[in-house]
Amino acid sequence: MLRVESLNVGYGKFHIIFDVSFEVKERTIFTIVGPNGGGKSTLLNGIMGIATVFSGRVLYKGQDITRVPPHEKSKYGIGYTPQTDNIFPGLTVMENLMMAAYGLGESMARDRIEKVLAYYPALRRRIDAKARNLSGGERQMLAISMNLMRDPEFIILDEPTSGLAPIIAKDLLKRIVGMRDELKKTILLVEQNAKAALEVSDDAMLLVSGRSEFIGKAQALLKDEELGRKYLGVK
Amino acid sequence: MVLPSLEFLLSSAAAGAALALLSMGITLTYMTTRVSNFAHATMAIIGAVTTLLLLDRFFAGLRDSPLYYTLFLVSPLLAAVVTGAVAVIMYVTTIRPLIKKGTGLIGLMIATLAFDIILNNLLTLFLQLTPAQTVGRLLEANVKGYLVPVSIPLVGYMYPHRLFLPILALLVGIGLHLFLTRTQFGISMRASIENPQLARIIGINVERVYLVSWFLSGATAGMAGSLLAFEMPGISPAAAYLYIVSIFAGSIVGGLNSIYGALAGGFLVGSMEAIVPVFISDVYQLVTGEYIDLLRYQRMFSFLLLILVLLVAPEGLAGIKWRGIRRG
Ligand SMILES: Nc1ncnc2c1ncn2[C@@H]1O[C@H](COP(=O)(O)OP(=O)(O)OP(=O)(O)O)[C@@H](O)[C@H]1O
Ligand SMILES: [Mg+2]
Repeated sequence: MLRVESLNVGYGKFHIIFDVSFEVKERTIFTIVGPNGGGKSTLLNGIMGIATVFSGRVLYKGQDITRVPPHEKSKYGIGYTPQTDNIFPGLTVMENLMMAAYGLGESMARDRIEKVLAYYPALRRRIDAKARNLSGGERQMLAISMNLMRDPEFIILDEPTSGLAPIIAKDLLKRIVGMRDELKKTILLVEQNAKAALEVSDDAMLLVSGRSEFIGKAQALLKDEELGRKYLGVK
Repeated sequence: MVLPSLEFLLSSAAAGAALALLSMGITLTYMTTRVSNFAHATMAIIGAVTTLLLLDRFFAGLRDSPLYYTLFLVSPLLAAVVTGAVAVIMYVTTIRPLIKKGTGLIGLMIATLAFDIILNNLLTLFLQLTPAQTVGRLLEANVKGYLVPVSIPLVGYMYPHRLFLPILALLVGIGLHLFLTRTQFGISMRASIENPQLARIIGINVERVYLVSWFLSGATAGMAGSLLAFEMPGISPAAAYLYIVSIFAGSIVGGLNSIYGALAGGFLVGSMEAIVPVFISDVYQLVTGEYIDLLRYQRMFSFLLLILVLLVAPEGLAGIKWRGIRRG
């Protein structure tokens, strides 16, 4: 569904991602793991067109979308939740959701907002609160809800469980699996909690210093003792 | 005149309202595109000149018609369209390409200054190229010359336009608030200001938001200028260089990053500039019997206010925790 071909990405003059290639198949979870500062977020930003792509291609359903401006990508059915700054703190919860439904048309937007609130009832209670007043968990719920507003086929999540209490993180991971199995979505996931994420993923990549050190089945990466010990803190 | 007349207060309020609109406009493009636009006052002068040209040349044939008075409402709107277009041209030809090239804030500021000087010179040139007798009249007269004072109970005779500016500023303030909180496009403007990158990710065309913010900024400047033409005898493009400092003062007093703050800051600075010098002159005359015209030095008072506000509340009016103060 999404093919990345020898992508080189950076910010301005800084070259951070080197010749990374991988493919995410339809209705699977593809997880990227790796040490901090390895370039996981930069890679996602490159795919979205927020960071500078020096060379390489991004193909979505066979179409070259490398140079498609970020605000057009949502129309292709790609939803992206960045790692940080993924909500508008000065807007209310409702306004955040409305923005994520921008251009959908009044009745469709209302419908989607209703669906998302049914999925996350906790948000309904805070609907008129400024997003800056939400708890960390509520924020993350809002960010993911915003991603889902346009009903994207392809969902990109950058460390969605970071900063969440273990139980909530576990619940969120379960919901992500549900997105694949019940909602038939395709998911590109970056996770700090490598073991838990890899256990539910189909394919995986290990990104170290901007280069892919491993691409293959998630189970294979989980079982690779040397890589696991060296980079992922699994025994 | 230590106790000010109602008419004096109204004309001071009009000056405050004009500056409120102008400071709001300069804050708007600062908040969206981070550009301090030095050409903003020239936009206002273009609005004033457009209004004079419309009333004096294009609509002159209608002078005896009952329609004539509606033109005083139509002209500011037409002036707004003209200056809105000028602002869009400025953004598309100069500012946007520079931002794309990665020009820094100082570079952008200088670019607006350069654009301002070109625009101001072109305007002067244009006025000199128009037939001499019109220019002479245009530059000396103000629009007030085309109006008849009306009798208002308790106030006496006064010019109706004195009420236009405060009412217009209030309407624009309310309209802007509704626009920013009730409409999808207005909310997307706030979203783009808060986090342009996230706005793009969720599908907002931030580029279009910026373009509209420049149009709105230019349009409100033209509208304010159009109404200032009622008060200012002798419109000259050079007046822009005096106005621009007061506009920035209003914006900074307001807090630089708040549209509502700019409206309040502009109003405060504009009305202060009108009231304080006259008040001090009067008191001085009462005490010493001598008259000095402090109105010529009015900007010293607004900038005294600017320094005081910055000392007491470094983030301007918008940075003050008003709720906390009210609760004690
Ligand atoms: N906007 C930016 N401009 C310049 N360099 C940046 C920028 N953002 C990140 N970097 C640098 O790029 C490198 C990779 O950062 P990135 O955020 O992609 O890593 P990551 O794998 O997502 O890390 P983490 O696990 O901590 O989220 C780091 O060295 C970082 O300092
Ligand atoms: Mg990251």
